[in-house]
Amino acid sequence: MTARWLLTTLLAVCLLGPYLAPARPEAQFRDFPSAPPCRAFWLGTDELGRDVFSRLLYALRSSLLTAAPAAAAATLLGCTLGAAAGWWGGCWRLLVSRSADLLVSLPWILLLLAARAAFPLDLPPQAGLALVFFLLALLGWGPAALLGQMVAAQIRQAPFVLQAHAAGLSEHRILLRHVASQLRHTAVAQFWATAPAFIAAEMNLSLLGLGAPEPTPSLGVLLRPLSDPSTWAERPWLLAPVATAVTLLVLLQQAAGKDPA
Amino acid sequence: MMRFTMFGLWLLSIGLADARSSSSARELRFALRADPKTFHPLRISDTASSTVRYLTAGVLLRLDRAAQRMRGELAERWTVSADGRTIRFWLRPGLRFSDGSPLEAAQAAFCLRLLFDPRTHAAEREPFALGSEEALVAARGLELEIALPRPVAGLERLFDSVPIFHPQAVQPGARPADVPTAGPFRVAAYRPGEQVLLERNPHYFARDERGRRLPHAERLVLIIQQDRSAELIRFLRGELDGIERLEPDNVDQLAGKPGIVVRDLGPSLDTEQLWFNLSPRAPIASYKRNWFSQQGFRRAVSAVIDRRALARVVYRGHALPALGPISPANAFWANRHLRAVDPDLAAARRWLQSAGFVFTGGELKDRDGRRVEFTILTNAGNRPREHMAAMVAQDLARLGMRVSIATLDFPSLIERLTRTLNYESCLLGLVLNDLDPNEQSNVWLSSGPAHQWNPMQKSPATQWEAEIDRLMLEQAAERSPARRKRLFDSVQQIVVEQAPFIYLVYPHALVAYSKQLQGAAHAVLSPRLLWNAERLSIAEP
Repeated sequence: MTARWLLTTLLAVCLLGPYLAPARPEAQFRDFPSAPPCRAFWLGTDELGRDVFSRLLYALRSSLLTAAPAAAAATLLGCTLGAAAGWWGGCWRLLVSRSADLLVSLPWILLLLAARAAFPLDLPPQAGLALVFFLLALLGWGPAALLGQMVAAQIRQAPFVLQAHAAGLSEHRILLRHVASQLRHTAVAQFWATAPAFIAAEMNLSLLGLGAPEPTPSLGVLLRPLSDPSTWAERPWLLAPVATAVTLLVLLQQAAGKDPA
Repeated sequence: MMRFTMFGLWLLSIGLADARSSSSARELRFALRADPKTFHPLRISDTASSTVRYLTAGVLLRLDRAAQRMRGELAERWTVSADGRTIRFWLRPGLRFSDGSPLEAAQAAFCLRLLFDPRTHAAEREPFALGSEEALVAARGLELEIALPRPVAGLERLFDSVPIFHPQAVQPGARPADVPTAGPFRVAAYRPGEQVLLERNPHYFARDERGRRLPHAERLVLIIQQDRSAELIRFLRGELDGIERLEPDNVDQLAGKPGIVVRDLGPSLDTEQLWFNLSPRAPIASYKRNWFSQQGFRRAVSAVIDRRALARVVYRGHALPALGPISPANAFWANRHLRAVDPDLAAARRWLQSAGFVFTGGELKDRDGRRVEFTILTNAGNRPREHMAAMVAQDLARLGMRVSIATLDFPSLIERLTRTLNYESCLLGLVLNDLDPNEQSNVWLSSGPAHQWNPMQKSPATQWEAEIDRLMLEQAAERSPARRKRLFDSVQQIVVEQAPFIYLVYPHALVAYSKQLQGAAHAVLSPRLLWNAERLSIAEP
């Protein structure tokens, strides 16, 4: 429960980001490029003189606010389709499980690259980031579907469900009252596993230069200096705070997934 | 902080010590940024293929990149007729291909006839301005004569990129390793995605000052390495002997490291520029095309960009703010009357006002009240360009323009620039390999495919483009260098006034190489280190 409280606090801080940040994330202080941490710039500045602290706050906000709904959508879609497949079986099961297998085994990064190239170019930056996560949700429901299918198939054979059938409960009520409540725990755990995976996927895209466009800050965009091996040696303030934030975020999300609901 | 620094330096220097000892000291290793697309000597359009051809194909004359003058290669001497239409070469006696077969004027004539044949579609034919006409090539013994239908200025310079190859090289399905060559190296093996292995041509004619046969190196390994950071790491580990194009970010990192030479050779011939899509075929909103087509709009954009900041912040001082199309590195051809443009917000507003734009409430609007907003497209993964785009966007925000930045992987970007034309503006660079303006004909002629703002026009869309066409064709046929210079100065003046390309910076030519590399004579012109590859070798440990 502690992890969820910490995450909620982090989310609240990020939501307040625009009020807490000392500067706009895209504001360039051109006389101070690559400045180390100081009183004016608590976490230093990047190559264009942009305040790293402000950019980190905005990046966490963007990533959390887009990854969470995307993970929720992927989990909901996957679990619903999977549960339906596991419950009714037959052609439906074959269709859902094959589609989920395909999505799990496909090189999704290539799919994302292809889809990214087809984006309209005049999308506002935040919409571009949201679209990246929408694509992730669209391509990322496979694991949730496989899990949902397995759980639903198990529940279908459970003694309490057989009893409910014998007691004359309609299938509709059984699904809503028993199956949905059982699936809820699985879905919550799956959500906490999916959200950090989506954040990592956005980071991968951004490291390739295909995530959020400049000057929008996202966690992946802030980690891009990682591709230059000299950054750790010469400008560690560009990476250390972001790496710490990402690690903390992922650990908290994983811990939250293990917390009892 | 100190701990970070020490840790980073340790990480970067792992393996530096003994990487070279694991292989022969007579082997050179450099990187190619991509696989060569072809080994056909007359179908080359990419840098990697061009580098391989530079190292393997013979040429009659070679541009000495360091001295910037032509010298005889397969031809020991040459003359150009007074009317500039005929060039005569005398080949060196005893020339041989790498398989030992003789190379005489007849073989060179075969290559030239193929190149001049319009059905070959060789890019090297364009600068000869043949149109639909033909060049006459005659060979007798070691003497070779080429007669052109009209005079071509700087004729001998064009032969630096005219390959002389074995007939097998143009046979369909020829394996590169089986093809004899006339240049210093021959292809020994090609492993896609991995490396191109070149071996010395044992019959290469040249000798060094001490009479030793060239090339000095037994092998030249061109490792295919797309990622620039990985190239740097491999260089630091001693797996590469040099970096032809060093990133500005890496100069300070390498400077002072033992065993490494880093050189900033000053402004290169390359340019980085922004342009708007003016093509009537482009699938963009017509009102936006109207904005972009107005000289006042383009001049306003040019006037507000802080080029000094781009050079200082993005290139860390390893670039020069751009004045026009030709870098001062090209001392003869650069127009000396062009002056640096400092950002001038008031002038930019005047330009916009004259074009009917209105600045209200912090926003720029056109005559119909539409907010001025557009997208700058650039290639993903190129940090200097992405950063320049971000800085330009901030500069333009001062005019009330809303600018978005879109990055695409290079193939998708090229698709949009050349086929679909589906973009509003683009920030990209131009790499020039020669000083002569004829090299840029395909950029300046309105019919040219590299006339990026409105390519391949059937007839010039504007009066100023028609004037540029006239000036370019006139200078191409002019023999007097001074007169040519005046004509090309006028082209540069028109380009600056009309701003179809808004020039941003001239990046410096930056190279790095191992101190063990002997014979290195870095040059601003490409290839910067490999131009004299036949004289390069590794010092014996």
